[in-house]
Amino acid sequence: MSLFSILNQGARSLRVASAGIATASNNVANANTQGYARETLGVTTAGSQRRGGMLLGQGVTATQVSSAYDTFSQRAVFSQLGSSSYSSSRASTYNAIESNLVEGAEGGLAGAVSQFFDDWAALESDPSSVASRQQLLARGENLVRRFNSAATQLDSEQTNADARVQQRVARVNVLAGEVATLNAQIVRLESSGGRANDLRANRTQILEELAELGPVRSSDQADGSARVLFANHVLVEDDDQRLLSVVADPITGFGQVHIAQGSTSFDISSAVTGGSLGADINIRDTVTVGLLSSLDDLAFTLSTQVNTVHSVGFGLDGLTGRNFFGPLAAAGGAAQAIALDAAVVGTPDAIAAATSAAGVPGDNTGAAAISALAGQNLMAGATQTFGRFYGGFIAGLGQDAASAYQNELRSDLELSGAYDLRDSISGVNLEEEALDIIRFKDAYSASARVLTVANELFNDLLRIV
Amino acid sequence: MPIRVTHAQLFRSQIRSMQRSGRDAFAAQEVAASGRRLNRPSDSAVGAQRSVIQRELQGDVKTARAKMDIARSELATAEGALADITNVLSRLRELSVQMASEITSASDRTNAAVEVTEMKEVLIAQGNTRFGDKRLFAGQLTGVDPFDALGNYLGDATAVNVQLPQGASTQVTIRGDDVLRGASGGPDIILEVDNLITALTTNNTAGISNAADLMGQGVDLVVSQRTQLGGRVTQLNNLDDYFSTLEFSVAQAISNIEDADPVEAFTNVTRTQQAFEVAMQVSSASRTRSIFELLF
Repeated sequence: MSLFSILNQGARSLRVASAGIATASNNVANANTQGYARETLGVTTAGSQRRGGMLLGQGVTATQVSSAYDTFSQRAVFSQLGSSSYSSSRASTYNAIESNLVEGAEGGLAGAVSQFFDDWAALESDPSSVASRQQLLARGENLVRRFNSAATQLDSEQTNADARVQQRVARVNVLAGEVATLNAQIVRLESSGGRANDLRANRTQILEELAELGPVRSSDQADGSARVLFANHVLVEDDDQRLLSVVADPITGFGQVHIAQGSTSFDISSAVTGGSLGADINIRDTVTVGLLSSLDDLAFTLSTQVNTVHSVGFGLDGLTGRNFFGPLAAAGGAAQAIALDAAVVGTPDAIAAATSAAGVPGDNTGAAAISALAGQNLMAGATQTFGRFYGGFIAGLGQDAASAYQNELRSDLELSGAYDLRDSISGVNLEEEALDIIRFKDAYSASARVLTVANELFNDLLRIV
Repeated sequence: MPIRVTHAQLFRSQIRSMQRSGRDAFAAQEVAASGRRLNRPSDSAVGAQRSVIQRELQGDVKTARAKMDIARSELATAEGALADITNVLSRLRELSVQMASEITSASDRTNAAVEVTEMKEVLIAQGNTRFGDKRLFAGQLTGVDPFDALGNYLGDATAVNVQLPQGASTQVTIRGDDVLRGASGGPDIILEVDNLITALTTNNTAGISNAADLMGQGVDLVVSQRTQLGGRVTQLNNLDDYFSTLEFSVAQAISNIEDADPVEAFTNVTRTQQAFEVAMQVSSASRTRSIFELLF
C-alpha cells in the first residue's frame, strides 16, 4: 500500500464521519418535525486492492442516507388521525348543544312546558283572573322562546357544519394539489438516484393534515410518488389531482361533496365517513336533524293539541274560534315557527278558559281540559306525555353526547398508540443521535490522526532522500 | 409500551398525562363549585331523564297544592257565609217565635219588621259573597252579584269544579238559589222572609208562627250544605297531606339525582389536583435532563 492510498483512505473516512455527524445533526434538528422519519447514513467498505499478493482494504465510503419511514405504521397514523378528528369534531358540537339545551334548577324547555301547563291549572282555579291570564301569556311567550331558541341553536349548528363542509373541501383541494406537486418533485429527484427524504417528509406532513379532514389511504408507488385515495376514490395519482366540489342538494340546500371525473362529477358524501369533514356531514345530516325532528314533533303536537281545545273555547269577552298558538301546517320546522297567535298576544281576555259562552267568566272547563293535556299520552304514537317525551329526548342527547366524549378519548388514545408505534420505528431518539455524533466524532478524530501519521511518514521518507 | 422510546413520544406522553389529569381536575372542580353532579345530560343520561320527569312531577304537585289552597280558601269563605246565614236564620226564628207571642203588641211587630228587612239585606249580601272578584254563590256567572236587591237570583245552575290530581275533582261553588231560594228543595228563604215581613206589618200572628217553622227548616238546609262543604274541605286536607309528603319525596329524589355529595366532591378536587400537580412535576423534571448536557 502506498502512502498516497493511506492519505486517500483518511480523507474518505473524514468525509464519511463528517456526513455521519451531519445526518445525526439533521435528525436532532427535526426531532419535533411532524412527518419526519429518522435518517441514517449507510456506509460500506470502499473495496480492496491487490498489493504484493495481498488484498488491502481501501477504507470506507458512504452509500446513501436512508429514511426509517415505515409504511404500515404511518398508514395506522393516517387512519387514527381521521378517527380522532371525526370524534373530536362531534364531541365539540355535542358540547355546544348540551350547553345551550341545559336543563336543571334554572329551567330549560322542560321547565317551560311544565310551567305552561301549571299556569293553565292556575287559570282553572280562577278563570276570571286577569293576573292569571297575563301570567299564562308570559309563560306561553317563554315557552315559545325556549322552543325558538333551541331550534335556532340547532339550526345554527347545522348551518355552521354546512359552512365548514365548504371550507374543508376547499382545503382538501389545496392539500391534494400540494401532494401532486411534491409527487412530481420527488419523482424527478429520485429518478437520478437517491431518496428525497425531506420532500417525502413534507408530503407525509401534508397527508396527515389531509387524513384529519377525511378518510385517506396512501400507497407509495415505485417511482416515489404517492397514490392517495379519499373516501375510496382516487384523489391524487402521480402529479394529477381530482378536484372535490360542493354541490347544493336540491331538497335540503346543503352542500354535497362531489369528486370530479372527466367533465362531470359524482356525489361521494355518503362515503366521507371519517375526519372532520365526515363529522360535519354527520352533524349536519344526522345529529342536528334528529334533534330538530324531536323538538319539532313536541312543538307541533303541543301547539296543535292546545289549539284544538282552545279554538272551541270562549274568552272572557264571550268570543270563540281563536287559537292560542299560531297554527302550524306541518311538524317540520315547528320548533322554529311556533308563536303565540296574534289573537291572544296582549289580549288576556281572549284566552279561552270556558267551553260555553253562557258560562263566562266562571266556566273553567276549557282551562281544565288544556291543563289535563300535560298528563295525556299524546307523543310518540300516543305512548308518552310531553314531559316523558322530552325526558327521553334529553336522555338520548345525554347518551349520544357521552358516547361522543368517550369516543373522543378512545380515539385520542388510539392515535397516541399509532404515533408511538410509528415513532418507535421512525422517530428521533436524542440519546441515539448523541451517541452517533460521538461515534462519528471519534471516527473523525481517528481519521485525522491517520492523516497526521501518514504526513509524518512522508516527512521521514523525504528526510531519507 | 414501545421498545424504542423517542423524544416526541416522551413529550406526547407528558402532555397526555397533564391533559387527562387537568380534565379530571376541572370536572371535579365543576362538581364542587356548582354543588351539582348533574350539570349536563351527558353526566348521566338516565339521571337527566329522571330529573326532567321528577321536576315535571314536582311542578304538578306544587300546582295541585296551590289549586287546593285556593279551593280551600274559597270553600272556607263560602262556609263562613253559610255560617252567617245560619246565624241570621236562627235570629229570624227567635224573632218569629217572640213576635208570634200573644203578649207582643202590634207596634212591636211593626218595629220587628224593620229588623227583619235589615236581616234580609244581610242574607242577600251573604249570597253575594266574593272570593277576590269571584262570586261564590253564582254558579259559573261569577262576574256579577247573583242576587239583586230584592233577592232575585241572577246566577246560573252550573257548578264549578276544580280538577285535582289522580283524577279527583271538587266543587268549589254552591248555587245561591239552592241556599236562599229553595231551588233544589227546602224553603225559599227570601220568599219566606218577605212573607214574615208582611205578616209582621199586618199583625198576622199565624203567618209569623208559620215563619218560625220555616226559618227552622232553613237553618237545617244551610247546616246540611255547610256539612257538605266541610266534607270537601276534609277531602282537600287529606289530599294536601298526601301531596305534602309527595312534594318532600320528589324534592329528595331530585336532590339525590342532581346534587353532589360535598365530602366526595371536595375529596375528588384534592385528589385530582394532586394528580395534576404530580403530572406537571414529572414533566418538569424530565425536561431538565438531556444527554447532550451530560456528554458535551
